Parts: sequence; C-alpha cells; structure tokens
Amino acid sequence: MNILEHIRESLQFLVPEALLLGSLLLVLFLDMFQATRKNTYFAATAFISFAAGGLYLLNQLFDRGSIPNVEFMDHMLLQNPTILFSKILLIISGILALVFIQLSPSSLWLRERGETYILLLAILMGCFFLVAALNLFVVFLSLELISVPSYILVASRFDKKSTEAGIKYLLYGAFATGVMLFGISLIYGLTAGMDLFSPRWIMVFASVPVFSKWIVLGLVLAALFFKTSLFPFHPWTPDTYEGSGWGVLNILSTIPKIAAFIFLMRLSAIFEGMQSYSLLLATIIGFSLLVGNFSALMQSNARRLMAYSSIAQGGFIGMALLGGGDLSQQALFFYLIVYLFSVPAALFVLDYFENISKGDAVNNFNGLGKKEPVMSLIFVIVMATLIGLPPTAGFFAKIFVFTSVWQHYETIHSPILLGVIGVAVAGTVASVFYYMKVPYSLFFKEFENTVILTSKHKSSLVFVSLSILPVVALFFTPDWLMDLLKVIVVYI
Amino acid sequence: MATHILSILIFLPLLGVLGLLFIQGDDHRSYRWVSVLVTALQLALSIYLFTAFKPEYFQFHSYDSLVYMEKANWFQLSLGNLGILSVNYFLGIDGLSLSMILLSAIVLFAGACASWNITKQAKGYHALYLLLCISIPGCFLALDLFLFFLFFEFMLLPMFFLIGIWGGVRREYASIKFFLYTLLGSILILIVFIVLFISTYNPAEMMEYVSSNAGVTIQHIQEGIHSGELINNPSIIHSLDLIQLSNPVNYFPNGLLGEHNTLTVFGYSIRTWCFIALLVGFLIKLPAFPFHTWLPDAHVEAPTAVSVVLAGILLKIGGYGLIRIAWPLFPQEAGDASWWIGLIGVTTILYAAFVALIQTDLKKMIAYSSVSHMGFVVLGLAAAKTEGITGAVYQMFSHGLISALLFLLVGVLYDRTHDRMIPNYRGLISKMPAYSVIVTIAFFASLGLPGMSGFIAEILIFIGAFKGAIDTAAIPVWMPLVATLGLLLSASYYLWTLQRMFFGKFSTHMSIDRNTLKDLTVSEKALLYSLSGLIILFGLFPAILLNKIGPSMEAWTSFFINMK
Repeated sequence: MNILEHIRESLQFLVPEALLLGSLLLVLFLDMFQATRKNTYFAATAFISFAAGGLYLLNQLFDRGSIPNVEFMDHMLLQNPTILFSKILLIISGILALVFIQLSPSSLWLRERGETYILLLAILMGCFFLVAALNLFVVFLSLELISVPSYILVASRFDKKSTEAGIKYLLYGAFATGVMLFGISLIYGLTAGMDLFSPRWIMVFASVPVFSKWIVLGLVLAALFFKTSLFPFHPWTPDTYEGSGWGVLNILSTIPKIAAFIFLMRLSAIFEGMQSYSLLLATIIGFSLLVGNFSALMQSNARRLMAYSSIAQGGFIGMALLGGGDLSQQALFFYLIVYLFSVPAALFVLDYFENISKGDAVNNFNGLGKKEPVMSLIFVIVMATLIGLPPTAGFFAKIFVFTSVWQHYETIHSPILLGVIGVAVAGTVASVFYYMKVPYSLFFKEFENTVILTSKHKSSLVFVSLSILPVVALFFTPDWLMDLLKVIVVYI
Repeated sequence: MATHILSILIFLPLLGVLGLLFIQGDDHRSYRWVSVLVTALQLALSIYLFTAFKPEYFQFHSYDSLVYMEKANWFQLSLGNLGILSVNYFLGIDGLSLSMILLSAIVLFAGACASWNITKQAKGYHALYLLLCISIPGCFLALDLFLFFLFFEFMLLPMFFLIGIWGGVRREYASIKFFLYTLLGSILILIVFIVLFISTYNPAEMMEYVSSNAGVTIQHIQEGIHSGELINNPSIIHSLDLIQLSNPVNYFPNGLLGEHNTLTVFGYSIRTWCFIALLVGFLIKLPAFPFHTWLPDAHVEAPTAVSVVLAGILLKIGGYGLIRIAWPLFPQEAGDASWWIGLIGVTTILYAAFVALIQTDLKKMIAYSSVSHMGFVVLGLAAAKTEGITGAVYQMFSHGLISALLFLLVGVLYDRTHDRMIPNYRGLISKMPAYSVIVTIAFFASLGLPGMSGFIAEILIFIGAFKGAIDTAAIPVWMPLVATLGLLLSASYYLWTLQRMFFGKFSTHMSIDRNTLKDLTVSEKALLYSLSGLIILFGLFPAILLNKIGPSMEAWTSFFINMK
C-alpha cells in the first residue's frame, strides 16, 4: 500500500488528538497576537476541544466498541475499546484540571496566562499517544511531550520556590529520560526492534538472558516510574509539590499518572508470566508503598503530605499490575477512576484552606472546621476515599486491588507478592494516621489563626461536591462499572 | 409497612438528619427536639417489635426462623476467575437481635434526653448522634456481613468526633486512642470477612441463576462443588450471607477455610487464625483485658450522653459479634480455645474489679466496673451452655441499662460541680436525698442484688459456667469459682464508694461551690426513675425477656454443639 495513503487512512483515528492540537494552536494564536486577554476564552477553547473529543470518543466506544485492535500509522499506534476508554478517563481528568485552575483561589497567575492552557493541552495530547503507543519511539516521544510542558508548568510561577521545584523536576526528569533512552538503545541492540507489542519482538525478547532482561527493563521503565513517582524515582515529588501551585500539582498528580499506569498495564499484559518483569515490578511497588506511607506519617506540611500520599497511592494502584488476569485490570481501572475524582477534590480543598489561613502547614488549618463546616466535611469524605473507608468507592478500589494480588498469589505462590500484600495492609493502617491529620486539626484543634479571609464560596463548594459525588455514588452501585470494565479490559 | 419495619427502624434518623439541615439559626433548642423525637419513634417501633415477636424457633441461622426478614440484592460484582461477589441488603430479627434492638432504642433515647443541655455546636452534635442511631441498630439487624461491616465501621467516625469535639480536657488523646483501637479491631474483622468471602460460595443464589434448568437443587450444586466439577468457575457466587456461611457445606473443601486445607501458619490452621482475628477484633470492642485500655480514657473524656451510649450499647456490639459471628462460624475453634477464652473472661472480671477499687474518679471507677461486667459475658461464652449464653445476652441487656443509669448519674453530679472525684464529697445524702437513693439503686443493681436485672444475668452465667465446667469440661472448675470473687470485689468498690461519698457528715472539698449541689430536677427524675424502674422490672420479671431470647439461645447452643 502506498505509504501516503496509509497515513491518510490512519488520520481518521486521530480525531481527538487533532481537536486538542487545533485548540492548542487557537489558544496560541489568540495569546500571541493578544487578540484577547480574557482567560475565559482560553478556558472555553480548551473546554470545547475536551468536550468534543470526549463525545467523539464516547461515540466511537459505543459505535465501534466491538471492533478489536486496529493498528495504524505503520504499527506505531493502536486503537481499541480499552484505549478509547482510557482516553475518556484522561479527558475527564483534563476537564477537572481545567475547572480546578479556573476556581482555585491560588491559581490566578495560572489561569490568566494562555501558556497554561497550551501546556495542559500538550500534556493531554502526550498522554493520548502514550496510552495508544505500540512502539518504543512513540513511548519516548509521548513521554517527552508530557514532560517538557510539565517542567515549564512547575517553574512558571517565577518565584524562588517554584524555580527550585522546576529545576529539581527538570533534573530528575532529564535523568530518567536519559536512562530510558539508554535502555531503549540496549533493547534495540538485543532484539533488533522496538515494536514492543508485536509477537516477533516478544519472542525475541523472551530469549534474552535473564540478567540483561533485568537491566534493560529497569532502564526502560525508569521514565515511567518517574512519571508515576514510584520508588526509586520518587524523590522529586515532595520538593516539586512544595514549590508549585496547587493547580499544577493537580495536573501532575492525575493526568500523566493515569496515562503511565494504563501504559504499564498494557505492558504487564504482554509480560505476564515473565519472572524478571514481575519481580522487578513487585519490588518497586513494595518499596513505594513503604516509602510513601511511612514517610507521609512524619509530614507537617500539607503539600508534602499530599506528595507522599501520591507516592503511596501510586503503590496501591501499581499493586493491580502485579495480579494477573482480568480482575487486576478491572481493579486498576476502578482504582484510577476513584483516584481521578478524589485527588482533585483533596487538593482543591487544601488549596482553599491554604488561601483562607495563609499557610500550608497543617497547623495553620487549626479550628477551620468550625468556620467552614461543609468544606471540612467534604474533606473528611475525600480522605476516607483515599484511605479506603466505606461508604466511599475507595473501599472497593482497595478491596479489588488486594483481591487481585491475593488471587495471583494463590496461583503462583510467590512470597514477594505476600510481602507486598503485607506492606500494603500495614500501609493502609498507617495511611489512616496521615490522612486524618488535616481533619484532626480542622475539627479538634482550637481556632487560633487571626488572618482569615472569606473567599467566594459557592462555586468552590459545587466543584468539590460534584467531584466527590461519583465516588460516593460508586460505593452504592459498583456493579455496573465493574461490568463495563469487564467488557473494556477484554481488548488488552 | 410491616414488611419494611426494620429498614424504617434503621433509617428513621436519616429523616432527622435531613430535618436538622433545614433548621436555620444557632438555636440549640430546636435541634435537641429532633433527636429526642426520632429516638422516641425508634423506641416505639422497637417496643412494637418486642411485643409482636413470637419466639417460635426452629433452628439457629436459618431463613425460616427470622422474623421481618428483608432481603434484596444490592449489587453483584464479577471478579474474573474468582467468581461473583454478591452483596445483599439482608436484615432479619431473632431473639438475640431483638434484645439488643430494644436495648439500643432505650439507651439511645436516654442518650438523646441527656444531650438536652448541649449548646456547643448543637447542630453538628445532633447530626452525629443521629448517625449513631442509624449505625447501631443497623449493626444488630444486618445479616449480611458486608452490611454489618458497613454499619460497624460507620459507628467509628461519629463516635470519634463526638468524643473529640464535645469531650473533656484530654479529649484529643482519648478520641485518637479510641479510633485507633477500634480501627485495628475492624481491620482484623475485615480480613476475616475477605477470607470468608474467598473460601465460600452461596448455593442458594447460584440456584437462582440456573433456575431455567429445571431439576437443579441446592444439593446438586453443593455436590458439584465438593466433587470438584464446579470449582474455578467464573459463575460461582460468593456472598457474605451469614445464614449460608453458617453451613459448613458451603465452604470450598480445598479453600482456605475448607476441611481439606492443610496450610498452617506458625503451626495453626487458617481457620484458627481467622477465629483469633475475629475474637481479638470483637474483644477490643467489648472490651476485655488486655484490649480494654481505650475504654477508661474514652469514658472519662466523653460527654455524658456519649458515655451512656458507649457503655450502654456500643460495647455490646463486641459481645453480639462474638455470639452472632465468631462462635457460629468457627465453632470447632471456639470450642478448642474455650480454656483461653475463659481465662480472658476471668482475668477481665478480676483485673478490672481490682483497678476499679483504687479509682478516685467516679466515672473512671464506673468505666472499669463496665469492663469487669463484660468479663462475665466472655466467661458465659467460654462455657457455651444454654444457661451461660442466655445469661451472657441477659448480662449485656441488663448492663446496658445499668451502665446507662450510672453514667447519667455521674453526669448529674458533674453538671452541678464540674468535679467527680470521690474523696471531694462526703455525706451527699443529706444534701441530695433523691439523687443518693437512685445512686444506691444503681450501685446495688450493678453489684448484682437479687431483685435487680444484674442478678438474673450473673446467676445464669454462673449456672452455665459451672455446668460447662462439670458436664463438658469446657473450662476448669476454678474459673467460675475464682470469678465469684469478682462479685465480692464489685460489692466492695460500690459499697465503699457509697460510704465515702454519700454517708457521714456532709462536707465537700473547698473547691466545690456547695450552693450548686441541688437535688434532681423533674426532668432528671423522670429519666432516672424510669431507667431504675426498668432495671427492677427486668429483675423481678425476667421472663419478659427470657421468653423472647430463650428459644433463640437454645437453638444457638444446639447449633454450636452440633457443629463442634
């Protein structure tokens, strides 16, 4: 077939990406020629592309849902219901991030600039390519498309702290990318191919000596572990969280993480049964759970607390990668859905409290529960979700993840899986302490802060309650989502 | 209405919570009416249930013997090769839950009345209190363990905030301690529930699935599972239906809890570990030595009404869980461990009684006496005789009433002087005669004077314990013998306190303003008199309650002995 014709035919699968790119360019031009300075136009442009892309994907999912894998762009990208669904999750996450920036009291500097929207759209586009990637080239390029805008976003407040955070993030990121590139070059040397998901590559890779497998996998996965802030690529998280704005934090801790986990899940599906891969992953996840949960105990700053919480949550999500079979994939998606709704809510409420109490230490929030009862109550629900207490869907998310690993343990009897379960149970108990830290000072400590501002209330309340509503509702009716996911994950 | 009476009973307070949201303003008077009204309605419903309940009992944990059963599928989750998790909204009542429901309605109503004078953030207080009024009856009525766990867990947060916000000086410490202990217990319980869920199946629901193929019976399915034909089938339905879990046939023979499982951890089977986890989880709640240390702190710091609810009803969930879940699901293990359980019971009785003896804080003394009395429940359970187990349920009921009364009485004194140290008072009877009379009644009831409800309970437990020791040697004879010492000790600390605080020439510590020492008001009298009346009523006419719970507990014992 003529290559040009092939590319033209492939373009039909890239409609959502084209929409994102279109609105990116539109915002860029509007901003460049100073056609408008009103941030609502930027936001509206981005939102329209999200909404249109989301609707298109939904339509595709229901229309062409039965069509399994379609490879396009010369076996670089893949289209199937799982990927369509993942893109829908990313779109939802993008919309939440957009609304977050619009409403967040501390993100004025962020929402007034056109760049913010451009970078957000670019990150989302990178994530779209990452979840659909079939080739290490695409993986590398899409990771860069996510990383570079992230570096800029982190540093874009232009003060001392934000610059520090940006530099740290850039250095870690550049290092992880370099390591990954090195790994990719080794892979090419060992297997003479980068088409990860093709049967030929898998066969060739299976014959590679175990020691080389370890090294190569460790190197290639580095960048993905960096994006998901898993051990040992987590140390950037607390510093970056401390230095950047809440709006940026929200983007960093949801969108790229979701994409990277979905890609890791696809990778785990092809590496299923490969000892070196699962051992490596189990070790990484176990340590992440350990580091995240137990370091969070010592934190007294809300941002650093959330940073360690995100490392720990990454560990819990990652547990779903360890189990085999459909259940673990369902569990992963379920956890991601709970995660993508609850994290923006948590960060938003903290942002809100920080703004009225003028400080991000947990002590600053003392007694705010009496001034802001509804917001505080919602925050308790959000924290219960992250801990995994009923009646929130976080409970099921944890149960599914634990069950999937346990089920896998019963079939392969690998002691390391038992170790991971043990660490995860201990971590869940520990998480009660640190997640309850903020509610504790909200409700139990006496109000002592004199600087208190009242900010506009209604829209913030609506945002957090709407983003936590699905999580509570899912607790009472988790069955339809699991049934849907069961159909979705078949195509992995 | 009659078919949904249990749901109405549980979720009535939800209406109250909604009502609270619509009341505007800071006037605490309107909020308290909501609580009192809702709990009064709950009380009326439970009295109706109590009188309408006919103790026709065939078999423990069977669908036929449950009254007002409500069962609806809540959701079904398919979990890959593991099969389907089916969760039911399953409520039902038998003699055991009946007594606990009546008790919780009485205690919650008393607690609502005792919350009358809460002014600090009254709206939040009453909303949390009403949440407790949902989760406590829910716990006693749920027969699906998932639902049970939900209600069980949902007691935790309201209680945490009620102690932590409205409590005394060291409320933060006490509430955190309470939270951590109870959470540890509920995690242990949850782990067991997950293991139960993995290693059992629900043939009744599986039959509904294949109902199109006529001729398939429950026995077919059970045989299929046991012969290995149906194993590892993604259409196997797992559930946490307590009735199905009580049938040993419904466990996978090779599953973690199955009969053929030989897996041991540190020398004990998984079944033993599961029993231990359930035991510890519920003993924390009860509480029994050595897991009791959260209770005195929580009681001392909690406001009066919360103490009343905590001692009156929350502790009973521990005992209820042991009787309802731990013993019936793991009868063999419970039988094997009876010596150790008896030891825990006796130690709890004596240790807590000795500690109560040296307390100078009246509330702390009563808190320790609660622990000591809960030890009797454990002793009765260890013997596993009809008398002992009926006595244990009776003890929970009677102690619920007595401890509610005792904590209300402490609250009366504390409200007036903000001091509850025993050495700071003397000769109170001359200043507060009515109060002193009620205190005397309550103390005597608690130490087990004949004619009061506590006596019936303790005598039944001792009969059961001696019978168990002599007939089946479940526990050695010295255990009930030594436990009788507990009665002596409780008489000593109560009578000694009575002598120190109430008798002799009137005098108080100089820090106490004597003018505040007024006798009971009319509303206090109404509440305290009626509770004392109930205690005497159930002491003089134990048949009222025994007729209702007796057949259930007989069925429990025969079930337990058959399974063992």
